[in-house]
Amino acid sequence: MREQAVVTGLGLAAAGIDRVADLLDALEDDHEPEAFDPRSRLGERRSRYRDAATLMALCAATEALDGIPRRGDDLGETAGVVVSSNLGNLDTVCRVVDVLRRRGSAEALSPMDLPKASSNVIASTLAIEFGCRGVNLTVCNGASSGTDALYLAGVAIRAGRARRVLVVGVEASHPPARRLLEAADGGDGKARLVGGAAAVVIEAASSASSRGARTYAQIDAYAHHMGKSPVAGSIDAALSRVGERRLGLWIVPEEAGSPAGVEGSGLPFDGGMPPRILDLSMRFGLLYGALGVFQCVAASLWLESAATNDGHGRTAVLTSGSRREGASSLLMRVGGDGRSQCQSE
Amino acid sequence: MDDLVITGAGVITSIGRGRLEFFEALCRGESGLGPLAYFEPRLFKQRSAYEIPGQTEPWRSSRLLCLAARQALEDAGVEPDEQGMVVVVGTGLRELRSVELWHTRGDELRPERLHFADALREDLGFEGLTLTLSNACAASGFALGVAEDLLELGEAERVLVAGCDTLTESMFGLLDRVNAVELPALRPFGAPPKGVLMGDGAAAVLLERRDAARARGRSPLGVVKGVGMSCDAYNATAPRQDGIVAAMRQAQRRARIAPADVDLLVAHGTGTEQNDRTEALAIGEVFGRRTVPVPVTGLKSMVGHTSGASGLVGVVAALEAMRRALIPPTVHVSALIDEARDLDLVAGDARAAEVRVAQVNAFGFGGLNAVVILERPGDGAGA
Repeated sequence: MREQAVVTGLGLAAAGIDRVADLLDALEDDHEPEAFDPRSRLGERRSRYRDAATLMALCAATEALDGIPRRGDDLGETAGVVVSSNLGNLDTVCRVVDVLRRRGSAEALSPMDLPKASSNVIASTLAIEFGCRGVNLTVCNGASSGTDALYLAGVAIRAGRARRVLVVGVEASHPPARRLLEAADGGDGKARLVGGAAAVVIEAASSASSRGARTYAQIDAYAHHMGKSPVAGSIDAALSRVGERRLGLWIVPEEAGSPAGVEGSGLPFDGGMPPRILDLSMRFGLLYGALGVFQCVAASLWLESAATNDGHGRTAVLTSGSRREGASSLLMRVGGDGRSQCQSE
Repeated sequence: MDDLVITGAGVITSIGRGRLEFFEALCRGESGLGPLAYFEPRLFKQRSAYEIPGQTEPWRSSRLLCLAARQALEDAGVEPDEQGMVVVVGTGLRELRSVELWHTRGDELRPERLHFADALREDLGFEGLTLTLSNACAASGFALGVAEDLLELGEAERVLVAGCDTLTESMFGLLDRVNAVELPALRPFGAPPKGVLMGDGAAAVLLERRDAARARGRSPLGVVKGVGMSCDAYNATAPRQDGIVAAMRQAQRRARIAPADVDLLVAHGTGTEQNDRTEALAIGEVFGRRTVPVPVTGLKSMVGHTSGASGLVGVVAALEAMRRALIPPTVHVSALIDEARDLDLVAGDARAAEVRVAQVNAFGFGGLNAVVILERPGDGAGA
């Protein structure tokens, strides 16, 4: 019997949202996307020598791990880390080559930049900070990267590699990241990258239930699809994998344009009620590699509050990706053998 | 669970391309070290590296990856559009060299070219799921571990596992900053002066279940018995002995073998003081009770440190070593560091030896450890 993967911790590093539980309310207001300052939350000592993406990841992870039992500072060898970030360390890379050119010698470089020249610096910093000695992955997989990271965390749980995996999606809004992403988006100024991080703790259901953990939702099925209709194709494939036909919530990819495309995309919705549709870009701007994990936080909160509902309110699908690279969809459902917070209260 | 077997392999490094040519160059003890081909030498103390010269920029990593991937698929007799195939790419530096060229020279860069799905689709026509893992110098070892899990869970029919990297100016410059002097060569476990030298490279293997390979009428190049994956959770750059020991023991436990069963250890062996000392002590701790020491070799003395590709470069070499009963040497090492005195380092010339079980180590920044246990086909249970 394979382990089921459930969500037992949530965290965010996003401006204007002090507690992750406020996310769904924050999506209702019409704030413009704004930048998050991790240094004020972490303090000078924890911020020193670290890049912006790592700092935001630390903020979100700290909140997600609040309440997860640890021995000292150590989550141990069954605790893994999976990070999704595409642009995380581009600031260091560009700054180092600038210094090389300006000063004309590698002797002018700072050795403190050495770990940051490698893209896994976020995941290794999280592992060090929280004592996660299990599998440690940095997923740099483009627009679907966050969803793919959640999938790989689930794989690590189901394969018995880890009992608990900290998943963080993060993009920082440094000049190279903005230049690259906003230009790719047409350069019309509509797409803004303000940066942010989201974190979830994915845990083996047996481990969550044995410690009576607050369980938000379960991770059920993943599918990736390339081809003519990658979004619809990936959703259809994810639902088919577990024979699910009802969908309560769909969180759309950044490239979706208008959510009105849902019906037109030939999605297999039935059961009468159309799904609720969420577009996180209204509140957060471009999230790119962080998107899937932000979506997972929103879906987890939504599913937890919907846990007592019947019918279509018990499933959510997150989709990310692009027309060029294909789309990834992850199906989540109310889960955790009835131990979710709402049911136990 | 059915055994997982490798039915095709591809590789390209500074000393040769294709598993046969590459292995022969290794066994001749060739070195790929040459003058810096892509960077301005006057910026650095170190003016040589194990590069693959004569390529056009940008997108060198993507091109190396596609070359190795194509070789592995042809070797395995698998078409790129075959159903149920997933690609997992391990890379330390992705296309960050192309980011540098975009930043300094104004070359074109689209965000989706930072990783590798787009290149594999354009070059090979592969339209399935590609996962790019940026796991420092242990990346392709981790990619193989993820592939193992995907196959065991039935998430894929077959997995093309790859590793690729080319030097970035930022990483080369920062390593130059911390290396004390210009180095004449990368010398795994060798006496000072110590330091790492980077290299370009890519490698790929096709992994599938033994019954699937049998049904296609393919005989395996080797069996993947188990992959250990762990993190020291200790330091941003320095390795730690207990973390490396834990990863080696995890891999051996998953492979259901004892240290005494290992006939060849392809070491990570980066030539740095910290890696070589820590790895040598960890090998001593895990293998110390053997009456006959395990033969150890360090391929980076010939191909340099190919970053995220190095784990799979080691796997491809180990597959050939098992098939030919020949262990490639570690070159340019005349005196060993103290901690490595008890190692049976295969130095100087290739050594004829039966290799039934091989272990490949790959470690990276942030304390990342991936350890692969391979078995010669036909030697295990159920063969």
